[in-house]
Amino acid sequence: MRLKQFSVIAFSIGLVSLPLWSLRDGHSEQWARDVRELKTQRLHSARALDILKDHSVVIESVGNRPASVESLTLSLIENIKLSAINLEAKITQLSVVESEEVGKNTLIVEFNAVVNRAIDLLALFDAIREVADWRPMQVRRCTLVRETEAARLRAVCTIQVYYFLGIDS
Amino acid sequence: MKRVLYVCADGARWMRFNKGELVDALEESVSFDKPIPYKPSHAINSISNDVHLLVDCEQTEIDIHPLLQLGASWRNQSNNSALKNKLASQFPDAIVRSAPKKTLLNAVFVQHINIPPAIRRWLAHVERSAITVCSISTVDEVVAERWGSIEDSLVITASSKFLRHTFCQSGHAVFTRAVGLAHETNFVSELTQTLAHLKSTGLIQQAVQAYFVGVPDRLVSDFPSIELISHSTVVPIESDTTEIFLAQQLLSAKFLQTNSRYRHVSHMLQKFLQRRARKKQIGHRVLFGVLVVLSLGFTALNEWQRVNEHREFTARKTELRMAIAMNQEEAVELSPQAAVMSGALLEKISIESAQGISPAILLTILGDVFTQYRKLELQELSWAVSSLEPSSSDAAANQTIVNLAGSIFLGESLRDQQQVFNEFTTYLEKFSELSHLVVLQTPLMQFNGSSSIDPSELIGNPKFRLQFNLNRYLGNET
Repeated sequence: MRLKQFSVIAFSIGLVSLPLWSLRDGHSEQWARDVRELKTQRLHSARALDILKDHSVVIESVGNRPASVESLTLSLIENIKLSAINLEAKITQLSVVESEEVGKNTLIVEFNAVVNRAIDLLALFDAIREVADWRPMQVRRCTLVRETEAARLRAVCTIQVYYFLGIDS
Repeated sequence: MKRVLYVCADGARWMRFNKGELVDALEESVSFDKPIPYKPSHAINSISNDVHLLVDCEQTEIDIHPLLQLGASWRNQSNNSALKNKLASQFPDAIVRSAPKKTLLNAVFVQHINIPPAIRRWLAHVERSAITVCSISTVDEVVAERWGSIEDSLVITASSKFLRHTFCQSGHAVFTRAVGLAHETNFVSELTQTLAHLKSTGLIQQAVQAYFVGVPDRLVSDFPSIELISHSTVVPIESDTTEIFLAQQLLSAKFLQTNSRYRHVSHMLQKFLQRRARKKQIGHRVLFGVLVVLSLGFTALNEWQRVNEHREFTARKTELRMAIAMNQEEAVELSPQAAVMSGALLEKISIESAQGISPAILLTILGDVFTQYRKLELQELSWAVSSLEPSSSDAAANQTIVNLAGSIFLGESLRDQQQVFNEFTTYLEKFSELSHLVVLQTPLMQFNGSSSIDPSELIGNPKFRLQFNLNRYLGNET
């Protein structure tokens, strides 16, 4: 009799607890999070692929002309000097220094030059652009002062050239 | 349609009632030939075979087993179980009914009738025809419930052979006595004797109500006043016999619904109870079954939904992973260092979006301005990009702060020089890239407020200084 009662009670408890157990918090939230993460990854991968497709020229350039920070530095100095000679400009001071700013790797190009015209300054910037190639370049600051006696312009400029570790090893 | 079977040693009477009115009645003998099966009449054999059994007794039975022996003392505060056990041993086939609240009555009452063997055999014989009873009652019960519920009363009922004196308290028959009709001349004295006995046992302390049911008029017409009878009532019987009248009272009795609960069941009643219990059991089982089905169904549904959900999620995740793998594969085909390259290109785009205005555009703007105003000469130009944070919109990147210093080659009056300068600044402000123009020095400012003139400055070539911001828009790169 007791066994029967116990069985009935146990069965009744099971009957009530089974539906309640089925309402348990499953893994739905975790699954939804996983799907969201995968969607984000897919978007990122699609975006990366699009960017690579849009910059095939850059990829080709990197493949054909691998560079290092040292080679970039040397190329910058050489090109600036060569450009100055071609422009009949005088470089009184030139430096290329590695720097890291806000997590970005840059080469800081600083020069003091005396040029005949303002447009010659642009030509010096172009010389730097030629070396930088696909890498971003920014004229951070520049000062032009007219020398009334020599009718020339004295330029003091700071230019940033960004490079990327892993590519520019 | 309700059926009552009245049995006593004389025989059995089947009665059918419709809304309390007798429809038909059938008398039968309780003796039978064993080999011949019982054949119920068409009046009995209908859709429902539930019959109310009303059991009466003979005088001899009452004399042998009165509810309370004449001359015996009445014991109060009887123990329920002990009394039941005593009665069960004394009357093994007794129908026992105990009061639900014994404290009200100060005792446990027993209404016992031993169904004679002949009647018992006949009832078994009838049962084999699939007739079952749904209640068993005694005549004493009916009498007590009908006339003894409200107040203590003495009920005198008459059958064809004897008179019955039944003392009732709270709806229970406490005492019964049978007096043969041969002694009807001593009707009053016998009644007085009964009352004296009840008083001697302490069951009554004061006068009680008396009811005469089915008693011949000749006995009650000149009924004298008796000390222990407060008031007497003659109950008229509209039916032919007392049995029919009692059967009608039985059908309207309140205890009928719960009659079976207190009975030691006979085999006939047992079938009815079993059938009722079976129905209840079936009902409980059906309900339980429904609950089980609902519970399991609900659980199964939830689990099925969960499984489906999991399957969908798994398929979706697989689909996404395949898409990612395809993209990565394609990217690696474009560049072996796809991950690094794409990261670098993204960074490049971010940096380029935040850059200040191009020096070429800056010089173009200034070239245009100073070409318009050749009388102003630029002598010093400096610019600096304010910050290199990536911009969040395409509308504007970082600002370039530009400082200009120059002089005005104009031989006219200071007023004309100032006017030319004003026109110059106005023209400058028309450029959409320009903002926050601040004049740091104008031709007028070369004077320090006194009439003296700074000898280092030539009045003919006043200087000016300006500061303004230039904003870069992606649309103006061309």
